[in-house]
Amino acid sequence: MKKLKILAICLFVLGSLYSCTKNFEEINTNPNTTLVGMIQPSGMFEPILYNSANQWLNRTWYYNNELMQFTAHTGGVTRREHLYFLEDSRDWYGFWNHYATYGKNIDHMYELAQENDDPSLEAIALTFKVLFFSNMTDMFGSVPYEEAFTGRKLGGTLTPKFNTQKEVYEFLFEDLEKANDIYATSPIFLNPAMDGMYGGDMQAWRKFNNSLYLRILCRISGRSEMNAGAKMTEIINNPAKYPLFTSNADNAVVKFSGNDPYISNFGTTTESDFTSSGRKLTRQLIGLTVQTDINGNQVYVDPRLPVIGKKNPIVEVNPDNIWIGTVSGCTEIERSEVDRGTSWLNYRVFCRRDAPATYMDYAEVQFILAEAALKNHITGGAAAAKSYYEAGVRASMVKWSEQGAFSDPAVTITTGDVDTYLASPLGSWDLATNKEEFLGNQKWLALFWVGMEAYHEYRRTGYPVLTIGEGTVYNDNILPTRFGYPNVTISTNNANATAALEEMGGPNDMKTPVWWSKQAISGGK
Amino acid sequence: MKIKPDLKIVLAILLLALVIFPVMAQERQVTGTVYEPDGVTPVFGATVVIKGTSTGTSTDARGAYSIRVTGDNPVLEIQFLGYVKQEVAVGNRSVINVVLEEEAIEVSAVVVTALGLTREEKSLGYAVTKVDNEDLTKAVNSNWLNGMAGKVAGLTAVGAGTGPISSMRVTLRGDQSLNYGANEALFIVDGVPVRSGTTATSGSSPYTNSGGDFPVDFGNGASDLNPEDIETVSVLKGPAATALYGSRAANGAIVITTKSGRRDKGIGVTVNSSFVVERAGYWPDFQTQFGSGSDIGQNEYCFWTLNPSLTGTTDYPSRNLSRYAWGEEFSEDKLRYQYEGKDWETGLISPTPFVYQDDWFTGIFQDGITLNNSVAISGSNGEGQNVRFSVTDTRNKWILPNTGYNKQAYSFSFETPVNRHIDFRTKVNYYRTDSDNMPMAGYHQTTVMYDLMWGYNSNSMSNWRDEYFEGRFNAINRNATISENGNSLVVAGTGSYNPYRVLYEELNTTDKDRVFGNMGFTFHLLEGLTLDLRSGIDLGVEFRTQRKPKLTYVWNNGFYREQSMTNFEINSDFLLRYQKDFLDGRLTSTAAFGGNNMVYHYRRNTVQLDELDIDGVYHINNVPFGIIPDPSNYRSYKTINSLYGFVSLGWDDTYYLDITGRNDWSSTLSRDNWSYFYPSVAASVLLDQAFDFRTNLPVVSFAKLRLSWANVGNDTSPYSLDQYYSASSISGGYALPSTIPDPMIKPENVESWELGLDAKFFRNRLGFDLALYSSSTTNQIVSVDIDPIVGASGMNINAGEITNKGIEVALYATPVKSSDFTWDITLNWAKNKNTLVSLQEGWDPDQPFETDMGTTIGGRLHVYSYIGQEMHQIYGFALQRAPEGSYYIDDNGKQVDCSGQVILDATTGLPSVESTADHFLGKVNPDWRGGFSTSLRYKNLTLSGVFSYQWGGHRYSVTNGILSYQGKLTNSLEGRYDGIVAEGVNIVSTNEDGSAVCQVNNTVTNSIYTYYQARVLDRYNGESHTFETSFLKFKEARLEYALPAALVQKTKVLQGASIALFATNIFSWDKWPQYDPEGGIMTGTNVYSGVEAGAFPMTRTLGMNLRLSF
Repeated sequence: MKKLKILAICLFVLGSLYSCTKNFEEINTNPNTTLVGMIQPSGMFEPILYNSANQWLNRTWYYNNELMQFTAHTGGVTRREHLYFLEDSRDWYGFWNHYATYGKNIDHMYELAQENDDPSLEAIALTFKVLFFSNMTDMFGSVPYEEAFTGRKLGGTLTPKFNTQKEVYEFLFEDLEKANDIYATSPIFLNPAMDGMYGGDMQAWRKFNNSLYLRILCRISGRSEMNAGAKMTEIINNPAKYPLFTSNADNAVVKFSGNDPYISNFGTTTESDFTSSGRKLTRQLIGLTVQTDINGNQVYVDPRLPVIGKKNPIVEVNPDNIWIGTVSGCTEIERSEVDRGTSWLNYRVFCRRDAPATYMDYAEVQFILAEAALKNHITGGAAAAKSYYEAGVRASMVKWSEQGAFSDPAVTITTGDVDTYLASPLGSWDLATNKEEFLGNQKWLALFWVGMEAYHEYRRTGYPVLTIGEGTVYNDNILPTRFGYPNVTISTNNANATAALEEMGGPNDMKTPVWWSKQAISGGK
Repeated sequence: MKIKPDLKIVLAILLLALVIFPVMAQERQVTGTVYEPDGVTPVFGATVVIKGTSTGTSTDARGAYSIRVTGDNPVLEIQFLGYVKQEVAVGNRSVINVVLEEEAIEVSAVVVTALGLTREEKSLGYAVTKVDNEDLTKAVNSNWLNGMAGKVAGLTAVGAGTGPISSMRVTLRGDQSLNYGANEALFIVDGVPVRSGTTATSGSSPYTNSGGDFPVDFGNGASDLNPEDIETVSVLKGPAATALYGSRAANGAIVITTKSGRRDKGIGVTVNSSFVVERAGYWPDFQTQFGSGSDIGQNEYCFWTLNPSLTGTTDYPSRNLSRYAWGEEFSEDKLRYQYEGKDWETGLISPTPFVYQDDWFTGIFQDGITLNNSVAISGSNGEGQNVRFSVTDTRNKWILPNTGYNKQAYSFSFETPVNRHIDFRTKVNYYRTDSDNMPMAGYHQTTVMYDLMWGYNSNSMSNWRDEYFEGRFNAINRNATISENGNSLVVAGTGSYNPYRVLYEELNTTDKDRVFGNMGFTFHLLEGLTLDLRSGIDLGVEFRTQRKPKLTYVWNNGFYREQSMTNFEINSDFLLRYQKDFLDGRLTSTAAFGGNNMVYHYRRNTVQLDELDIDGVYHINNVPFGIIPDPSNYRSYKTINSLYGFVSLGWDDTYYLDITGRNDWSSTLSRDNWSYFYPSVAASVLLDQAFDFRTNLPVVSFAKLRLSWANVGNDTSPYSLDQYYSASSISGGYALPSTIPDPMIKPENVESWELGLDAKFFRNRLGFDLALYSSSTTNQIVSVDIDPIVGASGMNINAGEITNKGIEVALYATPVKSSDFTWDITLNWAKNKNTLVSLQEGWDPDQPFETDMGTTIGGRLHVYSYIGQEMHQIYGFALQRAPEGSYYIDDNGKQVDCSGQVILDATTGLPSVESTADHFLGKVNPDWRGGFSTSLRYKNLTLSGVFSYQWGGHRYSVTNGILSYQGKLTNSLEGRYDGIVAEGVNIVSTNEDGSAVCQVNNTVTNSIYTYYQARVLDRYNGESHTFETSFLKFKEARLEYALPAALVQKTKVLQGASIALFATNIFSWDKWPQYDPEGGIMTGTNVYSGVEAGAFPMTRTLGMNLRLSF
């Protein structure tokens, strides 16, 4: 009897244990989130649109403005971007990862759109892909394109080969053509309210797509073998097939509602964190926007300056209430002197919860055409260049005038103000001696607060001529020509990265020029 | 089957505990003398106790005793250290003389091994180190794991200096896994695994300049345990020792046995009170000569933006301030417009003497106080039924104002026979911890240490205090538009904040309840056959809040987070054991078969407000319009089923062999991989028996040679097989995961060998234990970094091999042992070499594997492991040096090699920093480490000391970097005004092979600011801020006086009483620049070695302890 009891206990124990592995798969199913592939493509759209716009705003403020001498973080002691202290993990990896992370999500949206037969998002994915990849290659040079993002797919690779910048551009042209063809079929954007840029208007997306086409054609226009002029001509001669931005209303601008989570990047930043304690306007910016007479009096100011900037309001340090810029790249000893009374970014304009983020605007299109005409890539010559230029300035003025409403006091830029500007030594085409430089300077101003464009364009044209301060010792007083491949790329994809560097002709530093740059072209590379 | 514990007895015990009344009975006197084995020499200090009672006495100098006995059949227990305890029935005798027998060689020591089995230590084929309660409770530590440091060879407990309960990472014999977080030892309490890890408030790194979220150290799971309730701790180091625990104990196990009720009949009450004062120390080496500024004193320091209406004069300087200390030389005679010079009522500002303020950094710290009181009641009916109940209350006020915690621990143990065949036992522990504020640690704008590092050395701490308590820290004063940089003590936007505001308003609260315990039956089925059934739970529920008012760095509009966490684990197991001796007892054998079912549930619910509506109000409905609270919930579920068995054989009490096997089925792996088996074999031989040392070599009292081999598997975390989207803050929005899983991931595998020799000499007065081991981990489940361009930034793979090879030595000696005086010494020493043998296929061996520290100090410092080399080495920036083969010609025309010397510019005398952070700076892991403890007992007085030491490790100090490059330490004093001629060479020309022709530098470096701030002491120049972590620490000292037994007896009530004074962290001899040379940084759920970032100061404690037992 007792032995039976014992046996029973043992059997019970064994039995209860060895119902065993039958629920394992169920137990190991993640209850917190969704399996990849189980969503609609629209699930990917909003995070890409809004989050990348915000990240981009941050990078513009943090890097583009500092490298391009719109601002200089002279106020603190730890931010040294304006001294070219840029290195692997925060900066190189930061950019690389930014482009790659959005790139992979865009790539996935494209796949989902194809699987779910959603042509509108398929085309949008392609447009976005070009936006990110062109920036990535412009930042780093050769990058993986054909074999990118395949690591998470069956049969993919973890060591993608790099495509040269030329190859990448050729692929991007194909992507844009493909997207343009899809837009041409007027696909339906299923949930227009989701589209914080164009409200689901496919024709507007198409204009963005083709304006982007123009941007990247312009970027490589120094490379004669690419025949950028011919394609530009084809585009502007065929507005039905290649509609472009025709006004600021077409601008690729992400509009934040200001309600959580649709809050603009600097919506909760204080003035101190944003500018007054660190990032001040520079002499470079003041020099191109303020006209000074021979006595040093500030006699005329670019109407956009009071929108994007603000004079230092503290009487003790700015008794004459003038625009003062700091010196980008200054040394520590110079700092307390050059930093005194310097102007700030206009906090009220940029640090709004609903402050917009611009991927690309109409003014840029006009500046691209002005340069193309001036260089005879398209027809029209100098006369056309002037009219494109003036249209570009007007567009830029109108764009900033809208933002000026949020300034304190409000700034409005009237048509008369623009006329005055276009006749002034600051803005007059006719008074400019070196038209290329003048256009470069003006485009630099117009590209303020638009991604990394000013940095790309500076490397392409060499304009504006920037002063490299003595404090920029961290890259041997050389303005970075590119960003280096991050350590993880070198470690895990060494052979391909090394081959890419060899092809570009330099070590993995910030001194090797990229393919379309002025330095590469004039250096015969 | 019903359990029938005798409730009457339990009740009686509890009642007795309240009312202690003397048992009235017939009394009579017994006297006698106690002699040594020679039968002549009297023994002084032997205790004579009436068995089963608390009545006792001790012998005097003539060996005589006298005791009153009561009861029917009294039995005397006579006891003296080193001699066999004797029991003598009194009978009718009134004089009883006793001759003691020298204790046989102590070979029957019993240790707790895997599955809670008690085994004779001599029969084990692997290393087990035992730590007694006494060692843990000698000195009150914030985390009892601290008390383990230096006491166990091969055990490394690393904290991060993160607050009142500093979490500790406990590893045994080095890191086995590339997955840094998967290297901690498993904690087992009373046979049931308990959760020991930390649960992060967020995954952020403790070194950052952006992002406003930061880890708060609320203590790790193991730190919850109450050392007062711990009976013993067995440290099972190698996989052979833990093979039966399965995958979770692949890194070794810390097996804790909590106290049970007393075995002998009666009731005992123990009261223990301690009072500990804690004081911060080990400060950085501050310079006191130069004040705030960044221009080498070229301009006058001036805190304010002035105008004549504020100063009453037109002769005032312009604002010139810096948190750096590269300013003017201090002098009583220099009057400067400082923060303290402002009259906040009139607004007028007057100059005050510009002098060094001694308390600028240290002034915020106060004396921390910990009060610890515990009462334990223990009783037994003498027939196998016993009970113990204890309550411990701990109140901590920490070294920073408004921080600390309270903790209560309740522990209950009950054992009873149910009937002749069945025993029942249960242990239940309930712990609650609550804190109104645990400080944030690390280097970040929202931590106190950051605020201090960036304070002005010309500004007294009282200014900070006044600014906060007088309400001057407000939006208006912080607004830079009011004055160039605002009117607050730290200029607006620079990120650092008023430390008092951080402590009084940025609160991190916790409320933690935890119950763990188990109950089990033992069935004595047949002669030698027993069945154990046991079920244990560990349930932890924690509620945390984190508050930040408006105007906090990053959270300009305030922040509030609520977090609830539930950890729930149930282990149910059975073990069928059969024990039988054969061949007249020459062959002993035990065979067992068992199984375990483990279920683990984790739930975390977080609600976060990124903005507050009304400032200072913290609940989840205080949200402004347009803001939606972000919920983030996570739950996971995992189960492991196991079957295991073992056979233990012994021959002649001389040869032993253990064989174990275990199969685990883990839900975290795929169908093809979820079942995995692993065996272990351990053998030992008692050389003293085998070769009859007793006769042949009597100095050897005991010698055991042991050898073991084991293979242990390890699973992974739940949901690691498939790709899941990560959620976005946008509703309905998704993003791809950042990690690519491997659905076919295989279990990890650890294979290990251990060879040991344990020997004792001179009747156990001297002994050593030597262990040699080697282990290799393959098929590591690790998330490796991959290039994000492939579609993810990490990938889970099976890859790589890590080996650990090491030696452990423990020595113990009792140089003096007499009835009055005993001197004990123990020493341990351990060396471990942790090598990365291989990584995933295709990995370029020239490329390092970077330990994902959660931080790399902004890319300026890395902890790398290279294939074929020791793991965890620090790389960073360094000064440029003359390449190999460089030389200069000295005055005698001789060519002198100068490769490796610092290159200085011939014109400026300035060195340059290398452009890439790839200079080797030192290895993280020490060459060897260990501890030393000694105790001297003279009569009732015991003096003991514990030391710990380490040799050869390195660590980078963010604190030193930040303070140095700001010119706040003495390392930047040389040449401040007159310049220096730095040691190094100038390059004259470069040869084709890359070497250089140099000259000895004679240039005077005048740019002192650039020289130090941007070059030599640059915060990112890792070379200057990486230090050796070799140390010798005097960790504990304790002087204890136990009331003599005779005196105790006179009280009639007391059974024992002792009072002790103790101190911890008394001194540390090291080259580390400040605070604690040990430790790491806390990131998410891990404590990483190799970097210190904004750690809190190391503290010295002084305490008093009173222990009474009734």
